[in-house]
Amino acid sequence: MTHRFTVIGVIAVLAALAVIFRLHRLQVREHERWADLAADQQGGISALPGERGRILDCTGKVLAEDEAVLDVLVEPSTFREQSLIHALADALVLGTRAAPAAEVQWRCFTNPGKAVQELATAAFPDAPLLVERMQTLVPPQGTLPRRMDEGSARWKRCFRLLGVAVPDPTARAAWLEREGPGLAARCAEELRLLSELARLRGADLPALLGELAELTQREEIWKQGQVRRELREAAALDAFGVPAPGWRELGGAAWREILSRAGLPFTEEADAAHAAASADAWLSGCIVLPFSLPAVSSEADAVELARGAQLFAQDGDAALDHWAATVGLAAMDPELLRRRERDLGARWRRGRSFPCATALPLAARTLFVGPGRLERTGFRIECRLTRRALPETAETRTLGLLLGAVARKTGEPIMARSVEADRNDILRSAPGVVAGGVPGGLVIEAPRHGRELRLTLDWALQQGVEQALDVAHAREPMALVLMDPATGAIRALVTAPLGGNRADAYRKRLELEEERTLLRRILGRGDGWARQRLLSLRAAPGHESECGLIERWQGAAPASLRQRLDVVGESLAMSPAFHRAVDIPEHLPPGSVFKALTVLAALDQGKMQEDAAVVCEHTSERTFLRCKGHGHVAARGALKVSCNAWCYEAGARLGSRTLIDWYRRFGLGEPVPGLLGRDERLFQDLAADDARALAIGGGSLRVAPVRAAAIAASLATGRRVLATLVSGDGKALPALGVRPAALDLVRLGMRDVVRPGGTAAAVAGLQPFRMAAKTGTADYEASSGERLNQAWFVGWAPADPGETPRIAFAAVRAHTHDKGADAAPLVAAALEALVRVHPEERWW
Amino acid sequence: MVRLPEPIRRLGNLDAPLLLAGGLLLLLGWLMQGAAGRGGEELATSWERWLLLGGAVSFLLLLLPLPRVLSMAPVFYGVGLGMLVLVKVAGPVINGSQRWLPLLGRGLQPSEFMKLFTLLMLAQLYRAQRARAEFHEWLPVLVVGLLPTGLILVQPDLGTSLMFVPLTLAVIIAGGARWKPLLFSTAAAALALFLAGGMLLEPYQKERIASTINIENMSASQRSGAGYQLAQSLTAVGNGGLFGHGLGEGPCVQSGRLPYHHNDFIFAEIAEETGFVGSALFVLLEMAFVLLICRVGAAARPLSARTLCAGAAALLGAQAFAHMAVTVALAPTKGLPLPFISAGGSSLLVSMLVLALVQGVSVQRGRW
Repeated sequence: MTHRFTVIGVIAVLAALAVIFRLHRLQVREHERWADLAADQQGGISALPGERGRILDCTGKVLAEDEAVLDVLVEPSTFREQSLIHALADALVLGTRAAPAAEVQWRCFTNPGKAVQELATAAFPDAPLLVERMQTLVPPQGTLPRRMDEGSARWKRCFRLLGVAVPDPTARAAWLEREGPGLAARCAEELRLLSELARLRGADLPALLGELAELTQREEIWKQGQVRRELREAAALDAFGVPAPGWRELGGAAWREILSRAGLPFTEEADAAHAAASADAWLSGCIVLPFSLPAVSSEADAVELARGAQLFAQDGDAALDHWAATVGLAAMDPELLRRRERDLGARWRRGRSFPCATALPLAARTLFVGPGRLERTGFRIECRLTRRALPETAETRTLGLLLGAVARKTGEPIMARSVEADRNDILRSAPGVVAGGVPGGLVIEAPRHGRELRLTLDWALQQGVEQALDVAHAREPMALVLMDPATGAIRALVTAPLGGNRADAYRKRLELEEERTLLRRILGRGDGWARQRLLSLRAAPGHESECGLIERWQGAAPASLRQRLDVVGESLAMSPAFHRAVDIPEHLPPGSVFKALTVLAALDQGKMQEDAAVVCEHTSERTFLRCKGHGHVAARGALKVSCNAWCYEAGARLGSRTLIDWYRRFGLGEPVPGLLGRDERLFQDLAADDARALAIGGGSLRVAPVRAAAIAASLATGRRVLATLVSGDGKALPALGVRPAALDLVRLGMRDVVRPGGTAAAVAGLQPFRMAAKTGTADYEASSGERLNQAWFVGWAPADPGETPRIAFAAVRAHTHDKGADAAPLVAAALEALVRVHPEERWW
Repeated sequence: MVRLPEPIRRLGNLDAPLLLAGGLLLLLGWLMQGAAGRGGEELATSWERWLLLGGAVSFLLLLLPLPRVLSMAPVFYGVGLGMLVLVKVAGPVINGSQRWLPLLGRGLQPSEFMKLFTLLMLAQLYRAQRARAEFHEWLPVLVVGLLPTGLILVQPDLGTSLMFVPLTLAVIIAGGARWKPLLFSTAAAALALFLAGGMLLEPYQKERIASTINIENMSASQRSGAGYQLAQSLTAVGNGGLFGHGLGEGPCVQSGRLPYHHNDFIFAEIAEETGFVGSALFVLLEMAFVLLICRVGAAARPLSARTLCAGAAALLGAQAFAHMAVTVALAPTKGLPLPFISAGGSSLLVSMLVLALVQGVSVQRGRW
């Protein structure tokens, strides 16, 4: 009989050999192929984003940095309707998690099905039937554990991007410990709500759960899609006790009634529980999900939110006002809403994923992540890095104009004149390469993070000055610069008006600039060029707007073109899409501010004597060679009263070339790091100008307030000061190489400006600032024929002999009827803010 | 000198090589559950509890006289059949099938216990006479052996139900059946099953068979559909290479891409984490384990003891090799736990009890 066991043994040996041979083939001969396949399946090679460098102010406050944000994507192909049932089970797990020991928490994650059973037993000791039903509700090894595992795998990837390692149980437990209470509290709230709703229906929660469990028995039928609608309606009826034919009918009044009867306030937070638990209602037209979002961050969000609000409007409740105000519903075009709805419907039918909410803060993740949350209902959550400046308010909008923005996809700057663009070489990051998404995914090449950039800007001072000038509500264009005269470091840069939506303002600015360029070309090159251009553009798509403009202005009289050019120029000048302290929207000269340089050049070159008087006679003609009849005026007096006649004489003796050399000496046209590039074209334009016009700050002269402040700083310190916004850019300042006597006289003349008899005598009361300054009033004719001014007030403080200048300033008010002296109060307010913000410093 | 009780003294007759092989398998199982449960300690903890329970019951079983245990076989067999009926009537539907009965807060799988009860019942059938050589003599054995197959098939659980076939055949062979009628009837039954298979198999089962046959040219839809587990299993096995990635470090299995890697595909985890060297040694260990059971059976005198050992060897060997064959695509995908290794508590308990029965044959030599 022994041979019969031999037969069994031989079969075992043959089976073993077969398996070993197969293993040899797979693991030895074909290993490389399978290893490649495994590597591909782990996600292959993917980019690991690097962080762009942070931008800080001079005190170390973060002005812009990369931040991890969440995008929530809807995946129609995986959207499931059985969420209510799972929500119930998960709510039990999480709701009971508020108190339990760590061991139970673990079980929730590793074997939630079993945890549900045990916790249900603990939670409902007197309801064995319910516990039994719970076992059918969530099978121990059913879909729930797998679903959770998938969810956690996705999150592991997200956390790895954030530099938080969650591959091992310990870290996962730590995460749970950290996030658990918040999650548990929300779910406990969810559970409590269900209990309350059950009570309202006259049943207890076990009974409600039991009924819902019965619903799951019909899952087979549901899978065939025959009672999809029926189940949703039944769930609505069972869960909320509202005899609604569908979720669509659950208007605001119904929600409010339910919540008030349940003793809950009708707030966004309370609604979030409903929203998360009934996300599929989104399909039916009742947009509840966006109500749970903490911020509206995309057009799609706004549309969804607005649509939800419209539905709520059927009952005319306060929710409409609230949400409409949140998203600016009034500005929503109904046609746009309809188009977006059709678009969303089409995307849904195509079955591709599409964004539901983008750039949500990481703190919002607890709304979406975790058992019983969006993971089960066909939502995918992705994590990415985005550039985020300080929260945008009226005050911080200035910052956006200065720093610029970076493109969402490429991470590259999109505004040419901005700190982000100018210092892109420092800030730029390079992505790394990572293989696989498994725990411990292999980083092939680490990302290169951008370096930190520290600005000279003092953010506290900037805010203080903006509040003092009330720029948030200012309607007239103005700009103000505060600068450290010793280094040229810009401390505050203010601009107004700020306008509303920055993106809209930029779009409009670009449109106006395009029109201005075109009008100038038509004026310069003639109608023939316009016809030819139109023909060439029509052949190529994508130039519709330019074609439209050419068609509109082709054949128009030059006078009409010039008139339109003026209008466009004025619109640009009023545009909030410029930072006026840096950017000059239109050609407007600095006026008498530059007389200080004329006087200094004339005295230094010996073209005019210190005490030699020039006779100033009143001229009524409207010509640039005019003055007010100051009588006999010497150099110091010429600055005090801003005498044109003295400067005409000095300019004539100096000549254009000498004046231009002096402008160069003071850094005009030099780049301002982070803000302005070199302006060589300025000197080409100036070369053709009359020296007498240049001597009074006219002609082709143009200067940004930030450069005017640097000129004031140069006069104050006797050194060549160049403005800078980036810390560490300041180089050793060379001396101006000017005769001290001439410089002292100019300083005295500018001190006289703010004393009785000076052009800014009205601001003599601004003491104790003890400033030295120069006013400037550049007038021009607007398209309406009206004469308007650009009023300047440029100087430094303190300015008494022997005192070290602590702050240089330049203020300008554009398109006003006011004179230069009227810009002085801006400076006074700014200096008061300076003292208020930095009381620890001894300024005067 | 204290004289130990007879049952305890007889434990000295334990078959040491078989004990060592079984111990090694259990040790490996413990290691693998620890590795598979890296995402959570629940798996290992549960497995350890079942191990302790299995050890305690096995020890008690070794102390009992084997003939007495066999005499109770009809009762066990009847209870087992009743449980199979009960699970079909009242068992919860999990993943589309009714296999578990909730008992004491845990899920028991009656079909696993039915393997043990059937083995005992078949051995009991051979206590009455010396051998069942002719067809009409071993036909009742065939009926008793294959009766649970039908009840398990309707759960449905094709994998477990098929395990009763080698068990019954091995018992019949060891029971002295004449070769010619046995081979003839087996061939006829196989042919009939093959022909009926086209009608009886579910579409997904046919798809799985097609995936196994056409493993080299599996389409993308098969890879992500019916052939998903098989494709992932092969990838994991092949990715192991010569020496593997280390315990708990298999990238394919630990990333969760291979569902049920701690249970129905644990051999893929062994292969990926220990490589060809480790997995081949494991196969040899399994083979040695079966041969050692055969050795105990061949040395046993009573026919019932021999049939018991033959059935045990077939049961544990067939299940182990079927599990491995599925993992490496030598057989269509079926959910079968690897004895002593996989996470299933019922499977571990039954495997340990079967081993205890075989050791019982060795321990109680000459007492039949």
